[in-house]
Amino acid sequence: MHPLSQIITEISEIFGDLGFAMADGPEAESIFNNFDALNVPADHPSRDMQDTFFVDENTVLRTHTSPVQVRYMQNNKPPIRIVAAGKVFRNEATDATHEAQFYQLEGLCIDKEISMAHLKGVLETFFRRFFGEDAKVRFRPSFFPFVEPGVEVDMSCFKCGGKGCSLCKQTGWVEVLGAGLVHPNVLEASGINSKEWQGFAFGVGLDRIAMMKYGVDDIRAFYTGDLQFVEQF
Amino acid sequence: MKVSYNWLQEYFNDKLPAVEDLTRGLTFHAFEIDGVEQVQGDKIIDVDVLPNRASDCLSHNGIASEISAIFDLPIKTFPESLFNLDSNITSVGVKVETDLCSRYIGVKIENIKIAESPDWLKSGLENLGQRSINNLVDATNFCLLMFGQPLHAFDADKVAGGITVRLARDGEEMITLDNKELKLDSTMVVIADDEGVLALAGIKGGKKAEVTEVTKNVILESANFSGLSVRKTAQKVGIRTDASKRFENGLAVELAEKGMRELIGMILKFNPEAKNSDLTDIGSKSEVVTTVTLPVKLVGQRLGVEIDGVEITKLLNKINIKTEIDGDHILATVPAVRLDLRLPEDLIEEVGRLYGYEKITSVDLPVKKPEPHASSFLKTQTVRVKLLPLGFSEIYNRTFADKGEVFIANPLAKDKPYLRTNLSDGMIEKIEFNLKNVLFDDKSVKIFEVGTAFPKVGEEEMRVVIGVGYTKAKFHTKSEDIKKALETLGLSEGDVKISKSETMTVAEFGLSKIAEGDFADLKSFVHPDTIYKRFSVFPRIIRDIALFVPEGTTPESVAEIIKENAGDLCVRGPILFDEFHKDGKVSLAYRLVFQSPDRTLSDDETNQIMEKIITELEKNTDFEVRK
Repeated sequence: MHPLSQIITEISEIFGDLGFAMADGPEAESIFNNFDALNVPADHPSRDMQDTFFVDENTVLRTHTSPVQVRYMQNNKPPIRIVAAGKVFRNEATDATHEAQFYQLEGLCIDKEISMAHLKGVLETFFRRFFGEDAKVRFRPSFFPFVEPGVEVDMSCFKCGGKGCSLCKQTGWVEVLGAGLVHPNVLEASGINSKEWQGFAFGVGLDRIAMMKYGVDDIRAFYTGDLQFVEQF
Repeated sequence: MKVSYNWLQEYFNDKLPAVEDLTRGLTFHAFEIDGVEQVQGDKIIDVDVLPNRASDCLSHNGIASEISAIFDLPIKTFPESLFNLDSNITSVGVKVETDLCSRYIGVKIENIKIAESPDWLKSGLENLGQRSINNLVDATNFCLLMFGQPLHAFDADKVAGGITVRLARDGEEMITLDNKELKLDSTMVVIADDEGVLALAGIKGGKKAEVTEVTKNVILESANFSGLSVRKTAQKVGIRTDASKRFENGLAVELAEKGMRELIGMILKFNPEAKNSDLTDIGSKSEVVTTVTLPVKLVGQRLGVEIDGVEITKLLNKINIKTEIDGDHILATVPAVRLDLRLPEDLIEEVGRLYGYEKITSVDLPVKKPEPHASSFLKTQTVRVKLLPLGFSEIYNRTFADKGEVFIANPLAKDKPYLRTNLSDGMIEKIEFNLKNVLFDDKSVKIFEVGTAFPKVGEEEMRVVIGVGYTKAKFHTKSEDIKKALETLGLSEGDVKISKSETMTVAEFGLSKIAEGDFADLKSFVHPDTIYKRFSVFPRIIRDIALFVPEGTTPESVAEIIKENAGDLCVRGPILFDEFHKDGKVSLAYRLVFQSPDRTLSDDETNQIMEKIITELEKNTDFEVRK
């Protein structure tokens, strides 16, 4: 099975046990769902944070799986727990660590009195089951328009156990994903009362965690269709 | 934003922490650090300031304030600017005709001499990645890096009449300082004199009033332009500058005056004989004061920590937020430069990062039964669980194609500007590609993909494609693989689109045609402990070796000898592919694959290895290698 499919299978089980269902959405997405509904207004510099492919004046190739959140919130009432794995697109020059298409996993939890501590708890469980029992989670301040507070999430390096190695550039930690508490504007844009409900969201590059987990050194290998690659997994 | 360690030190009487500690503090409480560069006598820290903090932290002032908050170091109070405003030279006439400019300050300075900058300024700017031009331009750039406020200078003798901030006329032209000819339109804001355009507001100065080596008198500008307007204009003309980047994100109008006063002070220091006019200051002088009502309880609840009102106010005060506790709320008054702080959630983030996210203890979510998975996921997993046991491998292909119906306005690769209309075309390519690595004619390539196709504008469909290919048609003709696969999936050939050639069959159909099934057995295809081995992309060379051996000799023992002598370049084999008995002897045939990890292998090199293998085999006098 393709390594990304293996990872999606593992993730669906881990998050299934935590009460999350797999959700989906289209790859060609409305600009509204991809940006506006996620608190990235038109003509705001935060739109430049992701290099976007444009299909027409109302449509882009989704730059992240976050519009799946929007679709789910528009069509379902809270409490909500979903994860969505899917292809996303960025108009960036490709090299060993960048692809114009790659896979992302989106997580969304909407409930009452959800905190950063819950976010930490869920990510800790995810990393422990996925990378190993010793995995630790660390937050650093960051900015994503659709969350507030927004954090960059590091995981203790599973390869060296935090002692420092080439994978973690001797720091003992690897940057894994972006996350935070869902911005009230995002909840309101999807018709959810932000006074009553809160939640957390996170987004993680599946190719990146697959590369770390299996030691793949070139992201492009996932999409060559070369059986010499696929059959190793 | 590159900042200088030495420059930051000037904000503090206390000694700054060592650069490693400083960057660690910034990393965990404010910004990601992209790198630290050692330069002559200084350290340059590259701080990744994201759009939310562009209004205050694309400046040394802003970063110094953060350091002050994080390390509890008080910022020095600086003496008021030295320049004398009691000048007797005439002020600049300024008219602002558009509300896309909320403040404009103009000042005239006479009798200056354009010269090289002093060494400290020159090297200071160069260390920060700027080019030193002359003492006037460098001073404007220095003040920009200090306050984040863009500043500009015009040669006063080239300005006819006064300064007008207005919308450009459709078709109006200007030539930029770097000699680009621009055609403007009436959505763009310009700085003009009575004759024409002097600058594209907030983006780029023009040639008309350019400061040169012989400039004697200048008009200085410090203004605040609409971020939206600057952004749209910059995009239209395709010019982005340090100035436009700062305006786009929004700046507090207060900064205009601070930047201007600093700049005048600097120019007068460089030109003791110079005289300055009064400030001509049009527009609003300060931002509307923002006060956010923050429920105390909300802070601890969102962060998931125990924190009281007193501690919250202490943290907020560190970043110059004035606080007042009002029962179970905090009234927080935000400093003008923090255009990003408007909601309680914004303040909760400030408290969180200063308090320290490391102090958050993880908590499990309450148990909840999940909603059903999306049907596309269930069906995709069903396809996998049915095809993998039949020997099909899964691939992920690329969405971009050289032909199609849906066109990308800004493709990455000019030769692939379309989204694929089907999965079959890509599948055929990949079968052909993989057939090159097949060692025996009766062995097939069997692959499948589940992915999205874009058959028409506005249409998108999840599809499945299954393909089988052989190197030789005669084996393909006998193949039942596709038929079996479709049967297993509960489909018939009539349900799918078949593409067939002599050596290949490809079947494509919508994922919706699959029934959701049980996929618990997929677990056996998940191998989390796999360690990937890089493989060579260089051409391989295939060689066969056949020999007669006495009855009773095991094929394994012969393979062993071959293997021992084949060396590292033998990447596959020996594979026994033929064996027959004749006249009390056994004929064995093996196939070997040679490939180098880093170059194209030559025939000669391979021949030498084969020679060596043959020589070794023939040391057994009863072995007879067939040549």
